[in-house]
Amino acid sequence: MPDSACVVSDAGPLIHLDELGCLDLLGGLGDVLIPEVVWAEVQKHRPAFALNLIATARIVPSEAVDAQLHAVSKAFDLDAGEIAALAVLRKKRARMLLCDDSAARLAAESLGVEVRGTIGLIVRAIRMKLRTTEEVHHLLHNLTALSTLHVSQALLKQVLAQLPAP
Amino acid sequence: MTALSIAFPERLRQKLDSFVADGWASSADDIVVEALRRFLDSHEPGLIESQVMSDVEWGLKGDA
Repeated sequence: MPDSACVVSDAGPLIHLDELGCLDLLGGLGDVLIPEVVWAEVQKHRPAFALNLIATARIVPSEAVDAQLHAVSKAFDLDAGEIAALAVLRKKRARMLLCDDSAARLAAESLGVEVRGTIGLIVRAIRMKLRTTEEVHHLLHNLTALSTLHVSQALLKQVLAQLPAP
Repeated sequence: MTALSIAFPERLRQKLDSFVADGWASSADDIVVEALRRFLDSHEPGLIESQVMSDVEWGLKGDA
């Protein structure tokens, strides 16, 4: 049974939300666990990353990789951060992985893990009243200009079409 | 076949060369092509689209 009090983040959403000035969008998810390996990756890309902007963030040590996770990580060719995130998630019984890599998402889902990415977190900001609908439209319109998240313009158009009008 | 020129970190180049020198692959080209094939297979645009649209659904109607 997952522990609804925490989620685990891979580097992608942390980096992308920081680029967008939106780390506060992680609010309300419970403790945000960041494996040490992931934190090192975040710091490499965002040296000035202000961890204190995520009130519930905790950097946690790596956990042992069990046989099932080892096999899945090989099958999906996961990197060290993704493996560490999944290992921590399984150990802490966290309820969700935050990740933007499609292969890592597939791997996590094959292990029965719910995964959400940066765009989901941005859209969620409307429901959680962290941003107005207009602000979310603006963020998504400018997503590829303001962040290193790679998304096609066609897909962004589809996403925007699903949102309430600003 | 076509050629593609890429730049990548020296450390990665050393690992690539060692891998080939140790006999784990016949050439650096083979490794790069295989790595590229695997990446493209696991980052297929239709898959990414379905993941993102699932995120949007969660973002709008989820419970967390």
